[in-house]
Amino acid sequence: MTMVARGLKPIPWWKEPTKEQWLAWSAAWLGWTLDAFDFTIFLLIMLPISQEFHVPLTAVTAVFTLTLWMRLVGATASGWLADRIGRKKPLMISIAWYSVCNFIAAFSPAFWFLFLFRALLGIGMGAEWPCGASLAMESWPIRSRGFMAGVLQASWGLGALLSSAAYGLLYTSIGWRGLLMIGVLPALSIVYVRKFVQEPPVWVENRRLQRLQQREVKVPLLKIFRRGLLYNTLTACWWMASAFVVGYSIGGLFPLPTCKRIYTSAPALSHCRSCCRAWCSFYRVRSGAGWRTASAAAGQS
Amino acid sequence: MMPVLLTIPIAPLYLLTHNYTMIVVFFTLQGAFGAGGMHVLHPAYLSERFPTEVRATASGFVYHQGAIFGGLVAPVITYFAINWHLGFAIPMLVGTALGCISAFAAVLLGPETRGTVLSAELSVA
Repeated sequence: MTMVARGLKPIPWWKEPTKEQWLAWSAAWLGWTLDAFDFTIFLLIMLPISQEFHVPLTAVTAVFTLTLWMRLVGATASGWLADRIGRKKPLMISIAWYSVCNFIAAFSPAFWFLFLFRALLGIGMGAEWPCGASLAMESWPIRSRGFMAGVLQASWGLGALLSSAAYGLLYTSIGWRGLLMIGVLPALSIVYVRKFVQEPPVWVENRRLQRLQQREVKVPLLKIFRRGLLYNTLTACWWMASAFVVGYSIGGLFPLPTCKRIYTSAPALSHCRSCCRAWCSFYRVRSGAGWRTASAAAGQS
Repeated sequence: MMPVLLTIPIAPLYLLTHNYTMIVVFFTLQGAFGAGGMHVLHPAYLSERFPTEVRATASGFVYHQGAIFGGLVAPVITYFAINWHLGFAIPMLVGTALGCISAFAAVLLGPETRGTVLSAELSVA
């Protein structure tokens, strides 16, 4: 891991990671950004979907909520897999999973079908995160780990930005089904992961030791609730829940007033889009360029 | 610049206060900053908190159970906004403030992980 730290003269942090480390981080980044694309594209097409299937918009938003909740299932399952068989395979599976679900949802003959496949998509969505995060964080050098974690996580906004761009450019020509079909394109990134990404050495060595010493952790989900890790797990859960409550208390402003307005007029959709975009560019710029530029961008949107 | 980047794992303390003050001043836009600042820590902080044997499972589970609580926020806020005739601003402010205080407490109780080496050693096996 720290072979780069051999020399005494300081090197800039971006030169510190090796090629393999950049490739691994990029894989996680790709997975997460495209995940955001597939997820957020749905927010923009909820209205035409409710019209086509003659279902109330609240029913369509229920799809959205369910997708979010299914993430827990996907995340736990893929995390488990990732701890047992490595970070790469579950990452590829999850990307394939959400891409294919999106694609199939595009052909929905009825609302329940769409509901089902978007819910299944939630599994793939959640599944991407733990593999990607572990892969990137274990590979990346310690010095700039925090920063690159930030860039990784904030790229969610970039994915959302991409989806609103796709909506803005293509919706009139290909409709909501077309937009969902585009959601299959992320699957191409699997080729990249398969070809260029290596398992983090830390994990490989750890797994080898587990086998060697016959001290395998077969059920990691139970392990984190055992003594020794329980306190850590609970405070981490507490922290995450609080963080999400804060995030959604603030973010709640975006969907709620928009949802109400969606009922009355179609232009509301463009409002929703610009909200999305403002929020996203915020995240994106914040991660890259810093506070001042971000405020400027916010002012513009 | 580097020390600043390295301190990102302990930044919650600063960011939360920041967020809370800002949110009163300039509600939505600055709020997005604060929330963004807090949320970008997750991959590093969660990965550093758990040993390699269980890292992906633990971070995946912990992160996404949080999302469920987050998902409950919107209906709760809507309930207070409409049934208690408060409008959206007040419940959102309360939700944010309570969330911040709670997150603050959770961070205080949790370990500081800055500089943690993600090692291959078996620790919980």
